[in-house]
Amino acid sequence: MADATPPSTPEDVQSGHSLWGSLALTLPLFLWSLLMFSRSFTKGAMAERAAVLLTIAFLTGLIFWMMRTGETYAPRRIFFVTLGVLFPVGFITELIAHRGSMSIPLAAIVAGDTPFCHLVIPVAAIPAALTGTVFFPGSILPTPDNPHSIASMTALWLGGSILLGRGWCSWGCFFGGLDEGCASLARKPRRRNLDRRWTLFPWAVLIAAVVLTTLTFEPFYCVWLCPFKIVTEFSPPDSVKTALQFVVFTGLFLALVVVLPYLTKKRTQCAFFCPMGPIQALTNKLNVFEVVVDPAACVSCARCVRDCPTLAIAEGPDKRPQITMRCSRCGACVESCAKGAARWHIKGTPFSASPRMARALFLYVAWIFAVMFGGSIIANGLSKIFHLVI
Amino acid sequence: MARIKSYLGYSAAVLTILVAVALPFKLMEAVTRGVAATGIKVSPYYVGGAVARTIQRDGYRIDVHQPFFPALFGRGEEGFVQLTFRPAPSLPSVVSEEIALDRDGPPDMDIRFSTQPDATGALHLTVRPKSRRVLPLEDATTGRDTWPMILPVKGTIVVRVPLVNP
Repeated sequence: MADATPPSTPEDVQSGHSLWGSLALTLPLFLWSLLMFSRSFTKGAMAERAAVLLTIAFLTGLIFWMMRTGETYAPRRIFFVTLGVLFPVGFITELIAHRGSMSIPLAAIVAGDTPFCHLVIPVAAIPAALTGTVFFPGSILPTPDNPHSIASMTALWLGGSILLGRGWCSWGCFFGGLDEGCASLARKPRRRNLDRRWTLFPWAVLIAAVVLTTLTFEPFYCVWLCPFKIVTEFSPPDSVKTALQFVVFTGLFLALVVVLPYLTKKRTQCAFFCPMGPIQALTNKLNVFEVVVDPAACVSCARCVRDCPTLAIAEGPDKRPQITMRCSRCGACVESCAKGAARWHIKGTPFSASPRMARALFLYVAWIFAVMFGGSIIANGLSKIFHLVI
Repeated sequence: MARIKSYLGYSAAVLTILVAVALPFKLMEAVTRGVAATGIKVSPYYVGGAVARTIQRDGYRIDVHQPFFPALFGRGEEGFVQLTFRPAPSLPSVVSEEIALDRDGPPDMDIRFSTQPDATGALHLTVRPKSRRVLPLEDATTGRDTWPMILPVKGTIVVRVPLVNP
């Protein structure tokens, strides 16, 4: 894959743009934010307007930071953790306003009013192909009582996957920010040298969940295993079965989203358990953007292997790092590489092609999607908070 | 060849930006409709299945859904039929109905329920079978499973009667 040109340097890969260049690159994305939030701003109450203004300022500030400094990981992480924290704020508030609690009443299930989540997609796809029906108590198209329909959320996920590949897991998924946030709390990991074979476990979770969903006619992962039910909705724990479910998913949340990320500084839920991971990894094949390691510049220090939050970089037989299809485009390896060997890249272009150009193009795609999707979630969460004080 | 690949790569990258811009506008709506156009439905296990026929009464109507026998392939041995009584405020205080599951067939069951909940807020359902495919219920309430069921749902009363596959 390498061509006969001098190896890249950290300056080629990691430097930002000039002040005016950064402003010029940020301006279209700022205008995009204005477009995306214009309706909320013109028709919303004071709390919504304040939330929208703050969200636009926040998102614009982050993208300018990325363009100006060449950093991706830290500003992206701030966005992603904010998204992960504010999603349940907005979601739970709306549930309580609509139903009075986080528990799912049977009437909502029969009415098909349960909001559809993208984590159901890999688990329900095969049973749906076999039976022509989705084993989920939602609605196919959006309704006034359920705007998060099966078709619309699937369309959103398809769009995000085509645009970002497994970058969905670092720029889109509103659950990933929680374990990334907990992974960021400790200054140093207390547990290192994780067995990389655990990165295969999500495949086992996916296969088991698909089989059990097919046999039980209910979304098995959602009902029994999803750790994020504790921050969204769940069946009321008023029977032995539902109480056991509550214990299981609460335990998984504490273990995989809070404790293990804190101890290891790795996104353990995303890397070791989420059944979306394998499917999302496959969508990396569709995506034109990637992160690669320039073998001419690499000195096999393995810093990228150590720093990857999802253990997506393996050491090859020659000790050179190999970026696997689990890469979630978070940018951590690019910034941790002291030699500029890890770099953003567009498939089909030569190694000598500008990594800054590849990064800028990727950031445009990622940020356009992030503003549209994550930005709306952030604004919604903020507006719920502001409603309390305004 | 390398130049062509490079050109295609950059073109794909720019096209991805255009797709990202188009996504919240017509593209998302088109893909949503495309997903719905596949004919995929929510499992009757949850929402009761398609309405097979409607029985009109004085002031209210009864939607008789397709009987559902869950199985991966074919039909299972046990299932249910959902009856949706609407609108709930127009129902008499005691509903007593003879229901035929087939449009031209003889009645399969007598069902009876009061629209007034008990002290716990539950409704009670009694079913007297008139055919072999209906299972009896005596003063049953909604349990943890998806059937049997008698439940107010958004201005209707949903009843699920257990069936066996003859």
